[in-house]
Amino acid sequence: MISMTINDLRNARENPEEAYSSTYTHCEIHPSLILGVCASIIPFPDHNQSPRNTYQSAMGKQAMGIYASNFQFRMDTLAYVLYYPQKPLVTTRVMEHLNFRQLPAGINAIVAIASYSGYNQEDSVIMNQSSIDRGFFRSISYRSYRDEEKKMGTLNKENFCRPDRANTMDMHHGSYEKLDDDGLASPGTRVLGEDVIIGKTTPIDQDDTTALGQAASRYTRRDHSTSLRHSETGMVDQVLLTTNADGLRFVKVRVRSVRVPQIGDKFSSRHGQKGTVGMTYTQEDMPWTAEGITPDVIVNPHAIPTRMTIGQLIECIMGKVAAHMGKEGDATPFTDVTVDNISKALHKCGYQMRGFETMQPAEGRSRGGCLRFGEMERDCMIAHGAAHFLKERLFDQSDTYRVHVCERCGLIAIANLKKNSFECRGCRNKTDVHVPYACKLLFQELMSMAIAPRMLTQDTKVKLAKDPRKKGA
Amino acid sequence: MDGIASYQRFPTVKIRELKDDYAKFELRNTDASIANALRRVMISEVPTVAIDLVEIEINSTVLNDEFLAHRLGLVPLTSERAMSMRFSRDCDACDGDGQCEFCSVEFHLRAKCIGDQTLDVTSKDLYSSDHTVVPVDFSDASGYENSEQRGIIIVKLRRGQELKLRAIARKGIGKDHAKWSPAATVTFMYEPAIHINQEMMESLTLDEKQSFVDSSPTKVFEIDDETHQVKIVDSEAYAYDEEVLKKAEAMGKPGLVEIYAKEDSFIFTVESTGAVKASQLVLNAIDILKQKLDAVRLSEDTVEADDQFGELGAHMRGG
Repeated sequence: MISMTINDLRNARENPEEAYSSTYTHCEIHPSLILGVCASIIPFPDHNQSPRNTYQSAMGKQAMGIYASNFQFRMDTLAYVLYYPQKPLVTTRVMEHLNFRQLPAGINAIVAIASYSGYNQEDSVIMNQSSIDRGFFRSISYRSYRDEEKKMGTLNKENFCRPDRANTMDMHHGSYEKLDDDGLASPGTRVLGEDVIIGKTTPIDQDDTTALGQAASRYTRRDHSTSLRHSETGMVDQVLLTTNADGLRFVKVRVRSVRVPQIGDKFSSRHGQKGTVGMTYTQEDMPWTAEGITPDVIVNPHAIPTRMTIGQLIECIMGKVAAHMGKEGDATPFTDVTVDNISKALHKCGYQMRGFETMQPAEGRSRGGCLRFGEMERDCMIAHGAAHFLKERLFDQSDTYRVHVCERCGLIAIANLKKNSFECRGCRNKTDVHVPYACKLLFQELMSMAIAPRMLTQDTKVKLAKDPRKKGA
Repeated sequence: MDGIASYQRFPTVKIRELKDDYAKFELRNTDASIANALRRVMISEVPTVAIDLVEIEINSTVLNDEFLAHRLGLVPLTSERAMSMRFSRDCDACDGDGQCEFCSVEFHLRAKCIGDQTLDVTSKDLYSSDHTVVPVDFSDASGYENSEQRGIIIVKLRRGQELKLRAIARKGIGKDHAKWSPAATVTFMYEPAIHINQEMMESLTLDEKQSFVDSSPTKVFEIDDETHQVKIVDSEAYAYDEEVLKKAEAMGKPGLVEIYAKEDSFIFTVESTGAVKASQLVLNAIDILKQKLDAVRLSEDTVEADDQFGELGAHMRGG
């Protein structure tokens, strides 16, 4: 048998009677080692809904960072390098062995979870334009173009040169201006559109020219240049000129361009929560804290409940604590880090612990919670005719709440019990009504949608009868 | 207008703390719209000077030209003169190539590493053509070791690498690019008013009082050593986190403390990047705010204003 932890092994040795197995031969180094490379980068994966870890394991591969420390000397067809990669504040122990701190992929962002202007609906995010100006998620993209001189038959050979319109046919409509005498654009040249960056011509067989007729006879060469992809721009970064296996000249030209985050770009957390930029706002348009901190990114709260990425929320709190204490947070799965410990540390740093509260009873006996008195149980009580018991269970012992209702308009009035003052805009007095909290919440939500749920109490009815004009209210 | 009460108010400012790069002051007798306008102007509309154009002559460093240009742009430059400078787009004296005393300042940087040690190229290697506009010097601002402070690192060179460039700094505002923002932090909070119900507080045991005091993440309350009364030490440390209110509720004593925000008193904290002094930043912001209001007022008797704003134009004139 393989024991999961060293403690299991020790216990088995100390009291063999109670041990799960007596035939242990091996021991796991750590339970988190069941995870592979991609999943090992996820903080608190043991707190996430499992499909989210699967999504993240696929998406982490698309992350931008520094892919190899020799990227400056490589001529990859396509490569992206992040301007300012940061090692994560919230780490896992496996990261050490993946050298993730040395070659990180990503930036520690200040994230607000809020519905702000509405430009972060449906998995889009709002990004701070000022942060972008300061280099947030800026990156360099490199694209390399290659070409080689080929032998044509025994005598003729293609060669790199600056094609001349006078004697070359089939020339591209892009600009040839940027080519040097050797037929290659030199490093530091700004190139765009369909500019030619590698000039190459092949000699035309004289027999073919005669076949093409008189008009074509002035041509001695045919253009085979390489031009930049249309819609791309950049600078020529590096040119590599060498020979291939056949001893023929072979060239690679690397073009670089800076990519600045803009609307439509995709960003993701480490929990399979991806989104596109829906809007960028400058710093002064962003919400801010009493300390003057503005977020880099605003994600929509609706992205959280259905995805159940609790690990992301714990990562948030731990990241805040880590930033404040100047330490790294450990988010290795299957360890005994609890939300309570992290929140207490956050409290010590001078922040509120979590800041949530609920009006509905908690679940589970251990948390002082309740048992559900459901719909079918309710039917049962109705059948018994136990009306008072029913009211007690579903209302008095549940989420009873007192609201003050205006006698005239039937809407909820503003009550200040300490000052004994009651106020309803435009109307007069009030009356007391006891309703379930969920009911009060529903009313207020309806009011937010411009629907007036009026509560007609007995007092109101008397008044309404006296004032026939108000009947239709 | 007759018969309508005047809503004119006379805001007051009281300075609490003033350092070169830090200011804390109270703004009273006004409302959030004014306070917020001041905050926004400080961040995004007070002009500074920042490097905007870089001509690179030699660059054999590990960072590419665009990267260096971006880093140079973010170096804060002393910008006391910025308020009186011209934007290069409305400068008549030059064609915008930067050789103009009214709208631009030229910088030169030249560095080459010859030794085996890594050479740091910093903001102190930038040589300005104008002694009033230079990279901000942070070394004497605080008690740091002066010899160690070498400005803001732009790039590091190894043996044989070289950097030579010419840069042009121009006037601009934070709205166009964050590099022109003179503000590192601008924030305000409502002044909190905290009332302790001492009668109810006395019904608590000392332990309960202590746990109440500890429930606040910031040090707002304290227990008096002699009288064992809970007293307020720093009401402004309260961050509107409502932790103490929740604690009071959890102890079954709602109303133990009452906290509300004074909606006409603000406590501002301003930190500057060093481009202008924090105090000057506030004054410049007020000037700009005034100019913006003047622009609205001046348009009152122009016909275009009425065409442009219609009823709103009349409204703005108080009609």
